[in-house]
Amino acid sequence: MDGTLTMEPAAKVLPATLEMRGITKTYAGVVALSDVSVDIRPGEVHAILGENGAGKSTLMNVATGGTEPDTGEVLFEGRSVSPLSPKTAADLGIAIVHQHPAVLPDMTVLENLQVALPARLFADGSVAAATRMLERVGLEVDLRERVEALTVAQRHLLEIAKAFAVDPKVLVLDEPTAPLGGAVVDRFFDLIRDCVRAGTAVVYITHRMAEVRELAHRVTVLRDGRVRGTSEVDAISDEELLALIVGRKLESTFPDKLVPAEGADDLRIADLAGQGFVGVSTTAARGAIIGVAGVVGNGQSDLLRALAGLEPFSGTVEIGGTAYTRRELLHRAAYMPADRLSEGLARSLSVRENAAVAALRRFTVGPLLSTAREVKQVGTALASLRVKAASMDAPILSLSGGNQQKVVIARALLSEPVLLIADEPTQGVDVGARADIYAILREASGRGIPVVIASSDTKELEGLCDQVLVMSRGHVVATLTGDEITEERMVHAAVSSRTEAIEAPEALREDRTTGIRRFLRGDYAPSALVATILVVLGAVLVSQNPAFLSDFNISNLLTAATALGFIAMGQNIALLTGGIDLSVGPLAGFLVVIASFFINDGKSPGSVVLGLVLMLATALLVGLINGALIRFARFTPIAATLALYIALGGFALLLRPTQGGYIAQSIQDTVNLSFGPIPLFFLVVVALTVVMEVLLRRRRWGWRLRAVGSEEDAARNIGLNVNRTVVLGYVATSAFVFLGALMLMGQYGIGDPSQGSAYTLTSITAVVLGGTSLLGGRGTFIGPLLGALLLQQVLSATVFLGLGTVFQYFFQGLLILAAAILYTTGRVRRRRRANAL
Amino acid sequence: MKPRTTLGVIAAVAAAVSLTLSGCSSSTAGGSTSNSVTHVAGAPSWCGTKKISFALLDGFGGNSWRLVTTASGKEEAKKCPSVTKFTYADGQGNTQKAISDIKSMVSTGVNAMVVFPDAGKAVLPALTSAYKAHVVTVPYRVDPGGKAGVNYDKWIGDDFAHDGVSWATWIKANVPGGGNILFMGGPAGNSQSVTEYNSLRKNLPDSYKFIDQEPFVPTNWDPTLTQQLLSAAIAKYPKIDVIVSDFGPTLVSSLPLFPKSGRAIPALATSDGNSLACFWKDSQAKSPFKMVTVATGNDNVRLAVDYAIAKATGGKLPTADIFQGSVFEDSVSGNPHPVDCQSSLPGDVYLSAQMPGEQQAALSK
Repeated sequence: MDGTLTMEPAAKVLPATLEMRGITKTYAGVVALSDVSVDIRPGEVHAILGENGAGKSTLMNVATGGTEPDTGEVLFEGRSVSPLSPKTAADLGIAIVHQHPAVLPDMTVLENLQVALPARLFADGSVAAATRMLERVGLEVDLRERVEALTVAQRHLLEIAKAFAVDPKVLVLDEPTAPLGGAVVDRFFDLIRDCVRAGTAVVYITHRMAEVRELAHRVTVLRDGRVRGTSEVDAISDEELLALIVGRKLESTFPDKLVPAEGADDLRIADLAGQGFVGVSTTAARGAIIGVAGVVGNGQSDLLRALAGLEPFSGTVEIGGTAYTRRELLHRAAYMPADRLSEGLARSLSVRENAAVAALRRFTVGPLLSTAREVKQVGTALASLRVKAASMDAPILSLSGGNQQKVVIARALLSEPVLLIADEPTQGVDVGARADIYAILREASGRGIPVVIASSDTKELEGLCDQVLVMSRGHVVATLTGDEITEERMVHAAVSSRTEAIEAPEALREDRTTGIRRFLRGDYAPSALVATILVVLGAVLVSQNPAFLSDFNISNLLTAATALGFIAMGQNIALLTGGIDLSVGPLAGFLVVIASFFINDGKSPGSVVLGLVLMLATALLVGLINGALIRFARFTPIAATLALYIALGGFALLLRPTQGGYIAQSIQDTVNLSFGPIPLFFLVVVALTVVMEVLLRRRRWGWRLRAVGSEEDAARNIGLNVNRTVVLGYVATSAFVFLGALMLMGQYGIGDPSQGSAYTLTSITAVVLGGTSLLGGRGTFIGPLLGALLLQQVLSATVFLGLGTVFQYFFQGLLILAAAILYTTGRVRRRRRANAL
Repeated sequence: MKPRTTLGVIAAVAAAVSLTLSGCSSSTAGGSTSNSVTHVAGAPSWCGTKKISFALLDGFGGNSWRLVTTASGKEEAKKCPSVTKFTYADGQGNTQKAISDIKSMVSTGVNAMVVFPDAGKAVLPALTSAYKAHVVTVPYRVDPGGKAGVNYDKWIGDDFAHDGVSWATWIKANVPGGGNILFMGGPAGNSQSVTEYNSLRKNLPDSYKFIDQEPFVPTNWDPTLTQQLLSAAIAKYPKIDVIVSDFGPTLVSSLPLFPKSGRAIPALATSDGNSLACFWKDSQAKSPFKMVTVATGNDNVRLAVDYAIAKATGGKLPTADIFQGSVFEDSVSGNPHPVDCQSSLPGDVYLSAQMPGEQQAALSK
């Protein structure tokens, strides 16, 4: 096979590029890796092979600094580099392609490359360099496209492009081909071979033996966190490899299986297809338990969700001779999700309520619920499932994982389903409870309810199921029954599969994007919308009263909007990081209170300077405290900044129990200085907006800020210092509030403990109107300034149009509602669609 | 080359600005140009002949007292036919909006405005800019700081110190020999309550002791908060002889706390309101208490409106420059009025106001 490289003898002489020695890592007592030693030599592809949960990904996180091992060390070119951080790993030339790409959905393709890669790679023009990087991996997308609009495969290629761009010394590839189609995989393999020829050491994590054979020189097999063997690929047979991969010990006892030929076919699935899987057909006898096996993420969960009616599908599902539509399945099938805590349980409800919630119809008397009936039936169900709880009214979270899962099953059975679907029913469940759960599932199937379970634990499927479908990349690659259901057969089917990823259905793809469409989806569309409203509303006001355009009015409007504009720009930074700063209003008020002691008529210039310095220092300190509470004390942004909101209000009252300390008239005149209708400080805020906009789009500071707000984990994975970025972000927020406070000194001109706090909400309003997302990661600085102008114009409009109080509230509320709906829902829809591809 | 050009521009602009500014300061600020007094026949003496557009501005317009006050102001302005346009703006308790309202009113071209400056001195810069734009500017009731003739035309205050004197006199006569006084005031630091406290303290001997927070317990004039604070005070102090409150009706929901805890309702020195009067009447059978009220001052606005319109239309300026609320009800002496409960009218009617109770009742419908 010409694609396989022969080992260069020289490679054996060279020291390993990357070596891991005696790595042990435990998570809450569970051993993920145990005394693992692997070395990766220059110019080789070293495959790491293993089943679900064998420890492959943990090992690679150790290699790239994402995870710190309990014991053991990492050596790079013979030197110890422990402890390794993602940053130092990147500096050493260790690049990783994550199984879940570390890309930032809110940023463009170009920005994703720029924020993740060192600046030197873009020395000869960022567009040219980025285009080259994408061409190398064969990714054809517009550089200005937002990554969220990319398909999963495209995002993966982007991730691969980033890794290749740095010409790494060690390249770690974690299941890199999973979402890729055939031609792309061939090209990708060629790239890897080029890299290896140039001396790069490649770690290739996979569960597919075919890829190992095609690409790798050596292979290490992991099972249960231990190295089961390392070998030259040519020196080991598929059978030998398989024997190393499988062989987990049986931990639980299983109920007896169905006696063959007991009943007629009860469940028929024909040509079922949906998001993430195609062409699934099978039949099963009454009382059978059907297992779905395969490497995690190959369509098993998607198939189960479709069977539960949670996702659309094509094809037919027949139970007991009746065909069921998606809607009917949604009501009649019981689904037990893999993520029990977030999807399967209402955390704040009791055991009884959680068990009863799906079957409430059965407990009604007239229009009301009968507690007596509920308690009786739920009690019987829970007792028969041997749920161990202090009482039926105990909070659900007080139960162990196994007992929580039994409550989920109790709920499923109480609803008298036609089909029982369980995704990873024993995940995080102790051995004893597992046996109980197996027995319950068997009993349910014995009563004639078809049971379909997916599990990453092949031993479990072997012990429990009467039929097993093995899935790979959305296809069923083997259907096993009776004695065929063995771990070996399942693993063999999964690892020797050569199926390719399902192409995204044409209908789900977006049209090729045009400039206008991209603009409408881009960050500046809200700004354009707000600007339009500003102009239209302005025209209406002028038609009512031409004095709206008088110098006096324009100057007042712009001055007031400048104060709000500065504070909104600060708020904008907090929102871009994915947080929020509620303390901006009281901080602005508090800073003016400070000023009222130093910056008065008759005070020396020294006192004025001291006052300004104190104001700025206070602002920066508050930002630092906000950031530190959020990042280091693990407060939510709302809690942290709310604490400051209250504290600052209190301090202001402490310093100035009543209004006092007029701000010096000269200072007031300065901040209110106008050239005709245009205030000086309005020019300042406009100039600053432009500067901030450039920083946000074209400089690392802005990319980092948006990266952190867009997807914190991905930002960390590409080596950004998330803590520093966020803390400095809050400091910058407060610095802008300082500028806003200067304006307020001219607006109300006195130390007043009760002023300022209203700016918290108005600033958030302005920012949201301007199109910055409350979810973080996207926005502009122009938008919030326009938002501030619009809010001020609306205030003025109520007087100019002689509108009543109620209308003002309506108008503002409508604006916000429209903005929220326009900006947020469109985004959620796009993201959902993109994730589906 | 470039810097010089920029500097040149700045210099030119600066010169232009200084010219404009000096132009501004040399002109005499403050409304009417002619000093001769005119008068519209059949209208009050303060109504001159010059046609004006007039605005009434509220810092916060959302309670019954403000409704009555605003309606009183409007009614007063209507007495003068020279007022061709009357507009009203509500600051909604938001200082930023109150400031914007004042400045926008100036922009729309009003000739005179009466402002309830809820935010006190914080709206002084806005008032000043209105005054400098030659709009007759008359703040009332709450002290906005600054000076008449510099920052505005005239401040028509309410003589809160006088209220303090009236209460002190009554307390000395009806709770003789000293006692514990609980003063439930408005928002922390507000000038009205502070003035009243100072006046009370000055006019009462040391045998009268103010308990709990000094100068006053800040209730924000909010009935719910009043109830919370009062129940805490009842628990803390076994002996409360007098309760002073500058917004009597807010006490109505709180006073039953006394009989509930087996104590007599203390003597009450406060301001009037129908709900309070009716509560007093209903309590006479089971838990009687003594009460004095001062007029709650809805008519303060009338004097301010008179002054502003007179100044702008060229009418005769009122001689009074402060509104003096007098004692309205005294449950002990019945002078000048006994406690007056109109059970057919709603509770949020102020019988001390000029506007008849029925008319007030119609406002909130």
